Amino acid sequence: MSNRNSAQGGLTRRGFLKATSAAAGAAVIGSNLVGCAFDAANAGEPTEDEIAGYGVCRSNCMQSCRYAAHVRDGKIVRLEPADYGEDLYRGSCLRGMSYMHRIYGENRIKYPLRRVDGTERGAGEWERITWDEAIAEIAQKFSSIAEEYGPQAVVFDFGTGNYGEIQGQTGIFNRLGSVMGVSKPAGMNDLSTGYGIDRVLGTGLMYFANEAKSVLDSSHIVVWGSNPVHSTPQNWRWMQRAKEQGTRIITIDPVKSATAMKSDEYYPIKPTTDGYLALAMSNYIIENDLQDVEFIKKRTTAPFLVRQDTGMLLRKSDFEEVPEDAEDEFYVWDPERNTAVLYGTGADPALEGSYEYEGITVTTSYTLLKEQLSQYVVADAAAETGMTEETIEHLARMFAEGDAISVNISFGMDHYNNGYQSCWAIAILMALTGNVGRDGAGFTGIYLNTALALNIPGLWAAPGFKGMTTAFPMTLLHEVARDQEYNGEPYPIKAMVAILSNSASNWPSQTNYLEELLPNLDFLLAMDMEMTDTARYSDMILPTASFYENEDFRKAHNLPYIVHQDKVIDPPFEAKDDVEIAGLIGRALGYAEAFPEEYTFDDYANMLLSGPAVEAFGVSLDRLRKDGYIELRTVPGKPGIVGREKFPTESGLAQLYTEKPAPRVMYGQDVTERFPKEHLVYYRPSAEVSERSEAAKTYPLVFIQEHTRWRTHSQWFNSPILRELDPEPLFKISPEDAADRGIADRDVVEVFNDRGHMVVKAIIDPSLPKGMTRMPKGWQRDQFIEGGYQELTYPHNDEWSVAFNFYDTRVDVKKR
Amino acid sequence: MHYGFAIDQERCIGCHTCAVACKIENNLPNEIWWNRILTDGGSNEMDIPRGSFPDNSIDYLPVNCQHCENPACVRVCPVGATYKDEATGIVRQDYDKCIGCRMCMAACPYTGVRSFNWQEPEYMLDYTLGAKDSPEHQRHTVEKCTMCWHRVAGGGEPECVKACPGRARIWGDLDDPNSEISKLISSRECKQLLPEEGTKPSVYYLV
Repeated sequence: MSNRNSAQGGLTRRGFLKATSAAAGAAVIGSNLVGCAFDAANAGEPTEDEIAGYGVCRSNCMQSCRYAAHVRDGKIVRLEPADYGEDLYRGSCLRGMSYMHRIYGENRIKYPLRRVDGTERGAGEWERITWDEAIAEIAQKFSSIAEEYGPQAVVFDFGTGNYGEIQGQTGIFNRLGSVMGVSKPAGMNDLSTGYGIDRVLGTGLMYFANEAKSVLDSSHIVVWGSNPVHSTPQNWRWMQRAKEQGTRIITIDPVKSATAMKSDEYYPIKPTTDGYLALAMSNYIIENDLQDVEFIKKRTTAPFLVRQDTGMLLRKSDFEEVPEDAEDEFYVWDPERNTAVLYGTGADPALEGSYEYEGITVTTSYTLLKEQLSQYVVADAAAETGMTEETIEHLARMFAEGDAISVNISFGMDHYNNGYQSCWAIAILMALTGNVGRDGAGFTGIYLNTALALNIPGLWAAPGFKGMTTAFPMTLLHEVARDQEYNGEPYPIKAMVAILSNSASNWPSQTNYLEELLPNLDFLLAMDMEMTDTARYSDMILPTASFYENEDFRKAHNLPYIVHQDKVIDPPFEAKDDVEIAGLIGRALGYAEAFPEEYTFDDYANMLLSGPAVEAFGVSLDRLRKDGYIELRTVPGKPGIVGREKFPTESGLAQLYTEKPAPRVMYGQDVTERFPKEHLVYYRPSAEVSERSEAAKTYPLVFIQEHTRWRTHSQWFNSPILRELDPEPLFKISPEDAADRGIADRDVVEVFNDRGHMVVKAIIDPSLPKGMTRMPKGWQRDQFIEGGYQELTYPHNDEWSVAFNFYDTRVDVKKR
Repeated sequence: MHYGFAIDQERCIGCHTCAVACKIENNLPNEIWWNRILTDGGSNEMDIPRGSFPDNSIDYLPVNCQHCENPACVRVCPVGATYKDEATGIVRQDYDKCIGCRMCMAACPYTGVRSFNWQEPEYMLDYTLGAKDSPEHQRHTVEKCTMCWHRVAGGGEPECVKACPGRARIWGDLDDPNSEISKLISSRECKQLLPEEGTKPSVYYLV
């Protein structure tokens, strides 16, 4: 008989409904147990003596929970949520607290492994080898490849398995790649959101957001295409607290997410039409004169004049020589003097109008934007988004009239082909309503203190620096490997190293990876602590250290701190940390000057922790070790706000017109056709998910990957403790779509499209509208009955945002 | 002193962190969970809400031993292995006295909060996790939430409370009208599980 008291079974829902119907009410609890002495003799919190050090969880959930590591007999027995400077920044989750199951679990890779000669990749036949053998073989392969084909024939694939500054994705292996001169394909993950918002706020590709705590100052929180209740609970904690203080939470999402169910208002939207909604709201706001004129005048580029002939802004350099290091100032129209004047020199510049100046026809940025927006009317938006006109007008009025609106935005919209246009449109909406750059207003999601610039060149640029070649994006790697050329020129690729990366699982369209990339590589080296898809298909695996097995530090995401990781245990078995592995490989390749034998973590850490920005914040390795974390707020006591004084754009203003639009990455694509459209925000339907797409004719179901509590991407994919609660992959389908196909709970189904398939159990999920399906992300191929979910995903990138578009995917399903 | 829990269902996000923390802190054997997060939703599947799109809703019910003031388990135990500690109100289980008759499991109306080690306990990892002074698990004994007695006895709080990322679990002295838990219970609408059983649970759900 089983001793299982399963996580969900036992108590029936009916039993609990009965239970909860009977309220004890707001009773004051009395008791007759008064004054009994509680024997606490020989007690004492049995913890302090066991704390071996403190650390910070560094997976890619974009949160940064700090833990006290309790160690007994050399092993971590407990990870206790540890304090930051503010109570509500003390975080924890089921993954972080159970991390010891990844350290000591059966899945841990213990020794260097080599695929048994003559066996297929992925067959699971490994031989244990020594570190000396492994390093010698790696060096021999890299050297001979570099000699025959050039160093760029080795590809370094950096993932997001560790956000430590030294052992992590921007850490020590970049130093090695740079002295070797390897190829580093342009990263593609989660970059559309930032690319779109950057058009307006100038915030670069990632750090467009305010600190998590900033939502306490919001009158409204709009959760737009994200699900913080599941995917960023440490941010949600602040939103929940704001809600308790009276902030209204509104969720816009194609599915009734866990966050939607915790919100005050929820509005369903057809997937990938969010940009249309934001544009129609903006148009409605202007048509009804609800825009924040004061903000638009003072803090946006609305009055900047655009030349009709070139599409460029009218600048000082149009009329006189401007030295390269001097500011090339912008012209605006002075309505009193009826002439163009340099911005900041005239009285109240005109927001609207077209003018002639020195024979050049110019129009204000604001007028151009207004004209552009005028094509997006509420009635059309209702048809496109599936929302009612009343809802769209209600939301528009809320943005216009709310005191301070923050938009929680992560990578939901990002994962579609038109993601950057959606996010660009929302940024425009926020600028027009004055909802950026002040307390409680702006984006939240992925905050990082950008004022503390670590000295990355100090770490990466070793003696003998060649740099890494980024000629093409990750989406094209399989084609380059297949053809051994790029853009008609030879581009040999022979080896790849997966660094903190499970690319076989986490890049879209897995079939491309397995059938075009892998067969054309002579050597795939995986460095990992667990047998991921990538490790399983590799030729050699090096066992790497976990978060707690070496020292590190991290600029904390969403928190205003830089935080230290103590080394609390030795790497078990034969695992080594990245500092040691990079040194071994580097020296074996002859780069002893870049990786001197005597260099330790301290030497590399001190390279990174140097320079004026680091000194200004008083950050040093000694202080990190002593204090554990250092606060980095630039305005004491105030949450970090993007653009509090000025936005990080050339003018310091929010940009309503993009003067010089540029693709995120140039890799030889033709961008001339779309260039004229990229000045002003616009709507473009998504690639597959759009109801008007070619794919929609064949495949009726949208398929997205749900970010659940059980995994961070593919990390924790086989944590034994978590798998007791969440044992197997489940595909989720709406009741209507299930009924159409005769599918019942736990039926085995095949999910398929032209690219691939998976065979998996299905469950019926009424929080999905008809036409949408999803499944939790992160399961590995051997956990499916057949195939895998990543075979299905859309393989291409938009030529401007150059990002992965995992969710722009359609499928169909049949019962097996 | 009368210790109890208040669980704020508005704050609870059903994340299972408290359940995992409990399992680690008490070094629970494989497949044993003293603290389970039940979905109060639309089917028997975890995380599946009730209702039709878009009018769905869901609640989570973290359920552990209710540490009843009038525990049904205590009345039926033939050997006094399960008993209420009068100084704290904590319902305890003496593994050494337990004869494995499972009368307490049958009597307890909160099905599933107790588990029985049919076999020699087995573990995922080959060393003891959690507190060094949490009692060892024994074959043929009934177990359940101890309210982290080993912590509480030393002036600490149960591990599930510290673990909760949503700050949804509040623990304290129900006898002290000034304790946080007493204030919450007196100011918020709250519910108890199966009040008609007359067990007077020490766990309050703030709704």
